[in-house]
Amino acid sequence: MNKFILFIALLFPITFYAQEDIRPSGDKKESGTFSLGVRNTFSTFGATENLGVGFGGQFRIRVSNRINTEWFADFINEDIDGLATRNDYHIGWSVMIYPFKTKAKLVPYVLAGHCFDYTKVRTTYNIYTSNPPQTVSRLSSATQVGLGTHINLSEIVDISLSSQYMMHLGSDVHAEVHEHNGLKEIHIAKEGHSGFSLEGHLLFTLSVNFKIAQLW
Amino acid sequence: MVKKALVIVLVFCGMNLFSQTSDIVVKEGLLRFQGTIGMGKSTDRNENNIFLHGNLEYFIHSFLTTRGDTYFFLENEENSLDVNHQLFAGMAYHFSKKSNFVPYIGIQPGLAATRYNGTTKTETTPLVSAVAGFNYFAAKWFHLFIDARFVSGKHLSNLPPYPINEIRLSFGLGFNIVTKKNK
Repeated sequence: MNKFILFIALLFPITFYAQEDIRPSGDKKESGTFSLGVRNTFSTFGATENLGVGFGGQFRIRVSNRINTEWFADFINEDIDGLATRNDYHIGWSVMIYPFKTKAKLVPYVLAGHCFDYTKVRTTYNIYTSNPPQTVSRLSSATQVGLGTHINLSEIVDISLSSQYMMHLGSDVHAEVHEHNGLKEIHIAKEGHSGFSLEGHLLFTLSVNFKIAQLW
Repeated sequence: MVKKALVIVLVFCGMNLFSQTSDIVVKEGLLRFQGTIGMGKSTDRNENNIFLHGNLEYFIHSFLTTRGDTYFFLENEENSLDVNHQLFAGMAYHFSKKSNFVPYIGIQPGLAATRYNGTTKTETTPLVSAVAGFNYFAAKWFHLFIDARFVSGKHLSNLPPYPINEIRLSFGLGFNIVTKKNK
């Protein structure tokens, strides 16, 4: 929770740049560009404190000089201490707002959006505990907010780096690692049957994007 | 394998001296492709991998390309995985604009289809990878290349996790086609 409050606090200075009269403006219209790209997403600071590595893709439709939209899909794999595997499938969209100059090598942006996801946690076969493999899954929706920057390599190609905090609303897949007789064991369970629960994680994304069409 | 790679790289470095020419092949719109053998060395264990490596690359500008790579895994006796086919997509930045000897670096996210030897379920594994190498465009239609790649990923299943981090090397003869008229 503290991480989330810190993250929101960091976003406040952006309001100073949101005043229309102090925004720098580009001289060329950029709305209508359609970009296609691939990405690696790294999931961190989740409930299990492990690193998830993902592959995905996205397309962008720029609706104005200052506003872009990103539509993405990710598949993220996470090893939970060698005891279980977590798979996350994300599909969603983000609106990207450019508070600064848009014609530059580095173009920072703020993003916010929604996501739908499917999560599956499978325990691995353990010869010491001889527990049968167990699988738990859930569907949930999420909302995300974050910061990022485009690194424009040319007018057509950019690399984008972003970090976003994603908060999931739905039943929680809880994985808890504990020691029993000197051996690590994992307990997984689906929680929140009777109500909603929140679960968040910090995502870092590195993407390569190609502007391939001018839609309008 | 590292020594062999160093020898090959040193031999090719000499080409830089001969590649100063006014007839620059690399221009916007160039399409290059190749099929070769790739050798991989695991960074986590004493294990070597062999692949059939195919690559397609398009020059959006003379210095930037979009490229896709496929690696078809050829299992050998020392492998713990019997399926490890990989697919990558991304971009590369090419350094030289005045020479046909063109070094490059790039990033390519990827996916692998992986399966433990002796099991039946094939898993999908996300991959992070970076490439570096060079092409020597000896003629309008073909080039020589050396391509090195670092791949990072982890095969996850209902058995213990299995890292597939690897340093990979491919080299050989590639082909290039000019798809746009010179301005």
